[in-house]
Amino acid sequence: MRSINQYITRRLVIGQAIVWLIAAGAVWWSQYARLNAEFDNELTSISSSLRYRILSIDLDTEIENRWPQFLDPNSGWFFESWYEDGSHLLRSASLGARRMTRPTPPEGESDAPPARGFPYWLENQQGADGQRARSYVAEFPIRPLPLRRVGLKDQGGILIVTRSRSELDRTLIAMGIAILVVGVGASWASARLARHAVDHGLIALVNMGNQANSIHVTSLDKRFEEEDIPIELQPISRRLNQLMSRIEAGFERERRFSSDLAHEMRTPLAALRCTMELMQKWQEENVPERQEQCIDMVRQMEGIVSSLLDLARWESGERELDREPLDLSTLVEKVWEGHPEETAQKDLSLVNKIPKDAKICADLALLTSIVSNLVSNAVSYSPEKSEITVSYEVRDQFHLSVENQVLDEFDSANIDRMADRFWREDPSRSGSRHAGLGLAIVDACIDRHGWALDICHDPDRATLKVSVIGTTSEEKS
Amino acid sequence: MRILYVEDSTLMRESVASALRRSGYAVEVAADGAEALSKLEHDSFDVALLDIMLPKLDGISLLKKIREREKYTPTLLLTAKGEIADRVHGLESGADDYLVKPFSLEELIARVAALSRRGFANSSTLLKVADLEFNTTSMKVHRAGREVTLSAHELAVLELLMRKAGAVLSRTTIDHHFYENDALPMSNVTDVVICSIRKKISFNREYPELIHTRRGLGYILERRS
Repeated sequence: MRSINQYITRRLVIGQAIVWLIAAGAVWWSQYARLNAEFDNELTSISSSLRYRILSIDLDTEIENRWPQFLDPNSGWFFESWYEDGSHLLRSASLGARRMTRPTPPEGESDAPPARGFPYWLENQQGADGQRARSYVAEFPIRPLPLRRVGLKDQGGILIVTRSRSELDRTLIAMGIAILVVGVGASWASARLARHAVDHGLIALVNMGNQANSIHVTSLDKRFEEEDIPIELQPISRRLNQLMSRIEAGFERERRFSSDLAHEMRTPLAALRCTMELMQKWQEENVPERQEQCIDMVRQMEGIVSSLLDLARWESGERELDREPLDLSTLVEKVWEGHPEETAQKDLSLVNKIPKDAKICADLALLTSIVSNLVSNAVSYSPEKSEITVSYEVRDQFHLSVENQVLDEFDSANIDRMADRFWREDPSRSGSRHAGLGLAIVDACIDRHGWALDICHDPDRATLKVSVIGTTSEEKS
Repeated sequence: MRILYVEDSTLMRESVASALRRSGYAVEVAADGAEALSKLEHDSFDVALLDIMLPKLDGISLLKKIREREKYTPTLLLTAKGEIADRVHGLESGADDYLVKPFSLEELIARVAALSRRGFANSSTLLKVADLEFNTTSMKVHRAGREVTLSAHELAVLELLMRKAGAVLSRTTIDHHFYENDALPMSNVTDVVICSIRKKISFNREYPELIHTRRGLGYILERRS
């Protein structure tokens, strides 16, 4: 189907043409049957009367007064009769010198009902004038009539009355042509109307198609009309708009990621290049302190690349999960011990509310990455002399949460973007060893386990709670 | 020449500042936008080098603020944002030049030199007063066709005097061009440097003095018949 418009129009036109054809056929057939019946009725009526009068003395007067068509050679009406012995009895004046063939009664029962006890039948045959004609054939008996013509044999006979069908056939042809012309005209008009209706009905769909065609990567902010369109298209439009929003957000996220990645890598690269050029150009600047700074910068870049590789590995799903029951409390303590300098420097304390026997069925590497990133973030962004609380609860699902204090000016709107790659509260990304990939890695690891990430900011208490929510067959509280 | 360099990356800031100082510029540094704004408002610089993504106040906002306050310090944006749209946005915000990280130190220094020339009426790379010629590209000085050898500091002071030829420059003005605020010399270093230049460009009595002292006012470089 190349075009809905063409498809519907073609179907409508063909359908209407068939309907018109059937209707025209029915009309023509009903008229054909009616006119034939009338034709036969008139023929039968006149012929029956003629049969009763055929031996009458006043037959000529009757013909002259009632059936003058039997006198006119061009009227198409003829009759002729014979005695039972085959000798000729009478013929109409309209026959002139022409002769009709004596009919033979059909064998067996006649289809036609007997007229007052005497059978007759109708048949198609060629008329005396050579035209298609309809014939009435009937036998008549010897009857004692008061005004019987003299000189008649004392026998019954047979009568044939024919009527030319020429006029009837002409009427039927004219009617057929009229029905055909009206039918063709009506079909053409219907086709035009159908095309117009389809065109008009599909305008909204065509507009939607044009609108979709005009959307490019650079115009993802465009949206489809949702209100002033047919209700049949509204769900499609709404769904497309939702998809557009998701695509736009995806593109924006990718753009931001590219930009952030460029910044994350270009800044340390620039620092490294400038420092090395400085040391190369001025030997006095080539001091151990600068060399150490260069190594730190390389380590920083190495960390970013390593985090990106981790992220790509978890997101790709190439590695199969090796789930096993893991001791949560021990894992948290071990991760906490990995930040001795920073926790001591900021005087941070850990409140471990995880039950000692709590176990979670997870992949060790991924769960370690989750806990490590959450604790590391909490340590880095907690104000001095504050507490970091790690808890584990099982309700319908398990909730593994890390809660820490945040600055009063923390914006709750950040929560939606916190798990984006390279997101950091400070857009300048300065003064931190974090590349903004921690929560993105946590999110990817959680996703691999089929769990969910929930971030909750309580402005009144100035706390941020990051929770991992999920189900596992092995959890125990 | 006095330069303000604003960069939040410590290693980057220290390396570039050192390279600029080695090239004869006086460099003030700032680690965030707010500190840079304060310095630009209270001090004068020949060139400002700004990063865009800065803490507290980003480079573009900082640039707009100083332009609104009618400070037209030639500004070079040094940033990791290298998209065409970013460059156009930066230049439309009032920057005079744009350099994407990572960059070559040589290119940075050349661009800084080009920007610093914009502050003078004579922005040519070949300065000439009487028979004294100074090629600021090759950093070579000739007097009557004879090459004069000067130190980096002497070259910088001579360039300033030649670009402002005919104008009296106070010792304070000269000091502010070559020393950072926290390192302004209390001694007569500038007088010593001027004296040294005088000696080097005046081989004998046939070559008249070009650098003259205006007592109580400062120094002026001009040809006197």
